[in-house]
Amino acid sequence: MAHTDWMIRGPEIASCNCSYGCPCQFNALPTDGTCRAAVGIQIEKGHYGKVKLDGLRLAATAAWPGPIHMGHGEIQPIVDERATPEQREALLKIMSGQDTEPGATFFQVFVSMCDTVHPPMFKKIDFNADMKSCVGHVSVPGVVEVKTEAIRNPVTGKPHHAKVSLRQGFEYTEAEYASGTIKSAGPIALNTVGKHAHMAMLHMTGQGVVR
Amino acid sequence: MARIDWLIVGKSFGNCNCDYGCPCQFESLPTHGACRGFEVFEIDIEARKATASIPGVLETEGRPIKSPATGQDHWVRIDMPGGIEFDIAEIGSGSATTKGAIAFTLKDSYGQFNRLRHHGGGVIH
Repeated sequence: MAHTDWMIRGPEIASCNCSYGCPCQFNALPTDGTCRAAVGIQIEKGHYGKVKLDGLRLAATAAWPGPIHMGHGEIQPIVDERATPEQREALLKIMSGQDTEPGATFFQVFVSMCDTVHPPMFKKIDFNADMKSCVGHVSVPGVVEVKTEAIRNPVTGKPHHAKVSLRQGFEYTEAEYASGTIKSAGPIALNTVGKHAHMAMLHMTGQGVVR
Repeated sequence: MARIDWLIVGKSFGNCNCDYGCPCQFESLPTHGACRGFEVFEIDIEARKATASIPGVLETEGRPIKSPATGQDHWVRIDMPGGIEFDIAEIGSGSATTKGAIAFTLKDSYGQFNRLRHHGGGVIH
């Protein structure tokens, strides 16, 4: 079946329960053996077929009992309440890995590693990301709050800036690594302080990350 | 006192006992709480391959990380604009055996391939 053409581009904030640097980004196992994460995306420019997605936001919380590639996870998709019915359907298709080559996007990989996809929520999503300082937040009132800031050197207290590049990444090619705090009261409860976070400019289509 | 001006330029392969990605690069604590590692010189950064032998002291080998999901080589790089060791490092997998005062064995743990440009003022970025 022919895939509907889609593209999204814009900043992303992600944070998880791993220590700074998240070993999973290097194909090592998660710091405490499990993966619990929250993500927010501001689509600056995007489309799904003829449906424009410019200016809309997405968020998700997710949890796996082990490393993501061992499966059995759950995910809670959250879609911008400002989206029209057509936009909501388009965003949920992208987030659920449809119209995407297998393994091409983190949406497709994460959903295929989940046993449970909770019914989507349509909520107000606040998003702000400053790549230079690593200060940012994703806020879905009553559901999830993510805050990020620069990692600090434990000896000098100064900001520590490190960027990670993945030539074949299915989420980003380059990301600034940061410190994140997550509080989630939704069906996937998360509560982390000073753990891994990253900020990246996403640019992807159904064929994967645009490089 | 005036310092003597110095400069070293080269390639470096480092291997430590941390998991791939080495949390210390991101100001976290080492994977196993303690740090055991070394650095050697003369490697192929692009291929992420290194071997070094110092008879009676060190035998080591570096290679690309393999994805546990797909088995393919994993290409991952760390950029540290204010780094005290490197500004860009390709990350791979290392194994090593050392003897002598600091003796240890590493098997498929954090391996770092980077260009080295240091002087008394730090890394030349």
